[in-house]
Amino acid sequence: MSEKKVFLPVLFFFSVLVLSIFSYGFLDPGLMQFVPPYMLSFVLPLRDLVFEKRTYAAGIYTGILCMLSWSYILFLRRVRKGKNDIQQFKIYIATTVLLLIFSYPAFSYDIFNYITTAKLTFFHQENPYVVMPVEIPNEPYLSFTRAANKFALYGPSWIAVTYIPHILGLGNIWATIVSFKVFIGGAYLLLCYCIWKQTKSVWNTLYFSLNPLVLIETLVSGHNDVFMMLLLVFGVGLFFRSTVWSKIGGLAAYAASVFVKGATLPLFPLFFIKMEKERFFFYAWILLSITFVIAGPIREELYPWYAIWPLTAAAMLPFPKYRFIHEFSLVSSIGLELRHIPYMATLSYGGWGIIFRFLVSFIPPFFYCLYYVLGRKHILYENKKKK
Amino acid sequence: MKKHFFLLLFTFYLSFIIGRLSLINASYVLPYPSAMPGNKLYTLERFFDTVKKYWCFGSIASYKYELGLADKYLVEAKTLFEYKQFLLAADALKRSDIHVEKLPSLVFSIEKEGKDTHMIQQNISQAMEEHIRVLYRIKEEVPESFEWNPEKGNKEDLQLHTMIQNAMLLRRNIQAGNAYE
Repeated sequence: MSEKKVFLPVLFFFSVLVLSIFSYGFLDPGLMQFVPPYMLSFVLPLRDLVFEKRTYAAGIYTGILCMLSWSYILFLRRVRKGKNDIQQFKIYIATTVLLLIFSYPAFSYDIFNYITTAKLTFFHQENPYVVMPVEIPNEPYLSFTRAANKFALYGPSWIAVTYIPHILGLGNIWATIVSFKVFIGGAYLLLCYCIWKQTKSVWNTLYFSLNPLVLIETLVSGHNDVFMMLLLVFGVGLFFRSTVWSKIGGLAAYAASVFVKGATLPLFPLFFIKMEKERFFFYAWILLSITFVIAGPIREELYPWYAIWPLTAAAMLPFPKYRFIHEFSLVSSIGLELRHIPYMATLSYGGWGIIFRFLVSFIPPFFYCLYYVLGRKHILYENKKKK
Repeated sequence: MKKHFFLLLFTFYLSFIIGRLSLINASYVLPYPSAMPGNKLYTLERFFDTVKKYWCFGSIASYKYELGLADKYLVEAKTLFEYKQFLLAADALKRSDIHVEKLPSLVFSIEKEGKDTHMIQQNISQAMEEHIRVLYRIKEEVPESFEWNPEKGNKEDLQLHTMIQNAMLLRRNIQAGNAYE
């Protein structure tokens, strides 16, 4: 095996491993009381790095992101060259999932919100749309849950399925965190499988599965957007079969996806316009991108994990026919992951972070558009030398 | 100067004793009046009020539901009393009483489930205080009794002051915490 062939997977898995270990530095103070003693010697130095040496932590994160992004682009280029051994990449994806499933949900508190909402619904047996978690003041999970003073932010589809990881957690907070991450990891794998099954393309599958934003926001932070997109992609796959029952099943799966987060609602008219599946996902990419840009600021800000919606649609489109969409989404996704840096460096959402987050969100895609129009150089495959 | 100082001191004293003025104002707020009998949407609203019970499952959600309806029907009664619709007002007040009566057992259920009820009991106490304040004002404005003579049907003798007094007593008991025992 050549050095070049070994270097890329080593670089990639090294980045993934470092990310998994680094995530424990972000352990919430409210969870420290639940940390088993044998883990403290491992966790405390990492927490010291993240909370006391914040600039170094931000630098480490930037380094991890650069390594992940670079190896991701090189993987895609390698597949484009014809080196597309699906069995090998299945092992890569499975290993990535295993390494990141046991990471700490470092960059978002949403998973704790899922956990607390599930406990409120299934343990306390209260309606989460009527009762806020903070209305049970002696609930121990409040010590590490943010946004506990809000009613459930998710649809009934998501709340219903969280019964599974809630029960598997057996009332232990660490077991519950792992079971939620395993559940979301399972949704991620199923989505990768759906993309593979429908596109028959290793490149498209890897485009989604190894994207740094997808890895960090799904397998580390544990967001539920992959679950919503799994229902959408599965539903569309069913809908485009010829039988009536498959169309009904497809619409039902789509409806379930709408009741996760509501982001797929704008796609409703597409089901009633006669078009091919490729066209469907093209328009879906446009609509989901618009939803992403509009929905974020309406909520509070542009959340990076919302980019999973258009990324999934982009992964369903053939390459290089939709090269602009693929490269634009890729560049945007890397820029969006840089949004975590200001909070890491300052532990504050204000100050220079506001300008920084705006710049990293909009400057990379803007420059890519200029690059595409003026430079015509490809990111995702090597340019053919002109004779 | 001395005269002004004592005048200021006396004003504060009066305001605390007579007006029950508190430096910390966290008064309970009753809802705005909703659709009244005669409105096209009134029957629909009453229907949704009943159906909402199934949406508000869970002991805390149920307590919020019952307290919400107790407030709503009290405001309905107050508005109807102001318009001298005494029969409808009496009916609204009875419905408010029915929902108020359920609160102690719900608080007991919440406690039994191991949930902290301190804030809930505080909220109920403030709500009952506001209810009593509203009922006191209504009692001052309505006659002691009223004979309702419909065009078709039997006349009804409404003992308004007794009804209001009983409603106040029910709320005083709950506020005092007697009903939780």
